[in-house]
Amino acid sequence: MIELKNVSKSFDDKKVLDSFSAVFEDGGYLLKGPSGIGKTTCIMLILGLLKPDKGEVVLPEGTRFAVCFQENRLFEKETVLTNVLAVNEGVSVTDASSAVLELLPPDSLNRKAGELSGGMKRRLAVIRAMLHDSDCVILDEPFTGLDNESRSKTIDFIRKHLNGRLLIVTSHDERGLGDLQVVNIDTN
Amino acid sequence: MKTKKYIRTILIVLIWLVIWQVLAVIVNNSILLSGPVETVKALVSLGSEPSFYISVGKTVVKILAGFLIGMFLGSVISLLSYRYVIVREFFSPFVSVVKSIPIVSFIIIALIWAGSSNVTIIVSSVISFPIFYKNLLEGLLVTDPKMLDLAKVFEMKTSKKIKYIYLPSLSPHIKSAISLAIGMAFRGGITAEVVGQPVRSIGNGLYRAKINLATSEMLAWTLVAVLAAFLIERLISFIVKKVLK
Repeated sequence: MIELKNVSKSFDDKKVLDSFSAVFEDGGYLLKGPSGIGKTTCIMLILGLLKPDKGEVVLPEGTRFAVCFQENRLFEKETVLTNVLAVNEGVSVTDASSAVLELLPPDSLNRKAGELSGGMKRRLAVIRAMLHDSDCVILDEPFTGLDNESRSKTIDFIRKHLNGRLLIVTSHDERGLGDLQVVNIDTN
Repeated sequence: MKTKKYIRTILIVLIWLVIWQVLAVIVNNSILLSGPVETVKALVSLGSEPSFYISVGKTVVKILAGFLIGMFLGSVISLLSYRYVIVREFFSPFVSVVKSIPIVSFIIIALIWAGSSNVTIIVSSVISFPIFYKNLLEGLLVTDPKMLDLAKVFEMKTSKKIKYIYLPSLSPHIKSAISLAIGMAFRGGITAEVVGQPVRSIGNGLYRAKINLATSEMLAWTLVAVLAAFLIERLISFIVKKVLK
């Protein structure tokens, strides 16, 4: 279980989160709210990449995360396969390859990440996160730049590879995510 | 395309050689200015003596050793400076002072402390050190913090962090440091030899040519120094390119 208790966070003079509280137990959550409301800040706080100004983030010791950041953060000069394997020590080349082929075309395995289209890069960032051995998967706007078909395939891919882990997704668009519990960040 | 570029480069070099020869003919005084033909003749003459190769070999080995020492120290201390702010603050004034001290001051200090046989190594390393330190530290400091956050969340091993995050960021800085430092190390190292006069060295050859007013011989030694610096720079860049690949 991950709990945010009355968390506040400001950048310079701008207050992004003000006494925000939320509990993420087992299952899937959709962190919802308009753009700029603090969804990504909330994720950064959960990941421990930002410290709250006030309040606290409570999570079990040793919680391991997998994340698809809002920006893809790929190793642009490396191949698609290397991008997956570089952050996934325990994953075999065969497993990584077959996972990649579920969402990307067959000729993409040995292509440099920097050569991929925006949508393909996004899917690669999702694949990399889903294959990571973790307790909680966080996907920040994972469907940005995806057409309807790719979006639907990506949702299926996420469900297939989730394996009972806690899932936190941020998205403007709820289509296909109806079974996730909604956490409204603006009305909290 | 590449062949075209080579041909153009060769043509440009040839034009400069012609300009040099024309100037030498106009000056018509080999002490003031020897032409390329005389220089090549002097080079062939020098090359017929075994001591020439010993001199070139000794100078190149010493400059290379100094360069590698400077590279090693610059790399290690830049890493420590990146990791610990206190180390950065400690070395910052030292590096600034080292960079602004005239080379000849270093040469004199090195001569007093270590004698003429070691002056080339010391001066080359002192010249290379701040170049590597500054370049590498800059490369480390501009490493994308977002990629470092990614490495943290995914618990990437240090070796993989170096390979996939730090080296791509450092690569242009390493290349530019090598290119700059090798040229400077050769200039400083040979200057140190001219001042310090270690036996059998390029600097010693230059000095002897100067006191004999043998301008063509002096230009021949200079040509050797330029060629040696160029070849060593190419060799090291090739090795680094392979390692970084």
